[in-house]
Amino acid sequence: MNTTSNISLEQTKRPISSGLLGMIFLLATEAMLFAGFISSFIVNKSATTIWPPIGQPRLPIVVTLISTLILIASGIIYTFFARKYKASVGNTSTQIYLIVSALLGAAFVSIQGYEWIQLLSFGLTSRANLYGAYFYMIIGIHALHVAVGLALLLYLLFFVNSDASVERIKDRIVFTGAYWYFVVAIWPILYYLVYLS
Amino acid sequence: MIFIFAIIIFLVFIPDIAIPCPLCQSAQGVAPETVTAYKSTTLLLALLPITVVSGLAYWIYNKYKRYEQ
Repeated sequence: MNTTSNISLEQTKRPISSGLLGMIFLLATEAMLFAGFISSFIVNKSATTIWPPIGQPRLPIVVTLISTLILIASGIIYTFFARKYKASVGNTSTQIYLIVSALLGAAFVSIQGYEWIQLLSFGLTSRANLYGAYFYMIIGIHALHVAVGLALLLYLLFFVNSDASVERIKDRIVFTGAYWYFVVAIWPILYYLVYLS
Repeated sequence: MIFIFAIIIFLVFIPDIAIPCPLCQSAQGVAPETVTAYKSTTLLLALLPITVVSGLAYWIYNKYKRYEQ
C-alpha cells in the first residue's frame, strides 16, 4: 500500500505528466498531417482554373457556419467544465458542462453526416474529381478526429464518476482538453480553405 | 583549418543545392497563383515542424525551470 502511495506521489510531483506529454507529441504529428493535406489542397486548387468544377454541387456555407459555431461553443463549454472542476476541487456536479460539450460535438458530427449524405445524393463522390477527393479526405479526416474526441469526452465522463483520485482526473481533463481544443481550433482553418476560399 | 575549409565549401555549394528544389522546378512556367501556392506551402511545411519542436522544447524547459524553483 505504501509503495503504491509513494509511486502515485512521485507521479503527481512531475512537472509534466506523461499523458499530457504524449498528447502534445500526438498533436504535433496531427498538425503536420493537416498541414500536408492543406498544402496539397492549396497547390492543386491553384493549378485549377475553375474551382469548384462546373457541374459539381456547391458546398453548404451557411449550414457549415452554424456547425462551426456549435463546435467552437463546445470548446468554450469544455473550458467552463475544466475551470469549474478545478475550482470546486472535484465536485462531480460540474460534469453537466462536459455532457453539453460532448452533445455539441455530436451535433457537429451529425450535421456533417447529413451534409455528406446530401452531397453524395447530388453526385459529389470522392472518385468524381479532385474537388470531391479533397473535400472527403480533408473534412473526413477532421470528422474522424472529432469522433475520436467525442470518445475521449465520454471516457472522461465515466472517469470523472469513477473512484479515481482528483489529481488523476484533473490530469485527464488537461490532456483530453488539449486534444479537443486542437480539433476545435483546426476546424475554422479548414472551413475557410475548403468552403470559403 | 580543415573545419573552416569545410564551412566555406558548405556555404558555397548549399545555394546550388537549394535552387533545384523539386517544388520550385515544378512551378516553373505555370500560373503565378500556382507559384505562390508552391512557395507558401513549402514555407508552411518547412516552418511548422521547426516551430512546433522549438515551441515544445521551450515549454518543457520552462516547466522544469519552474519546478526546480
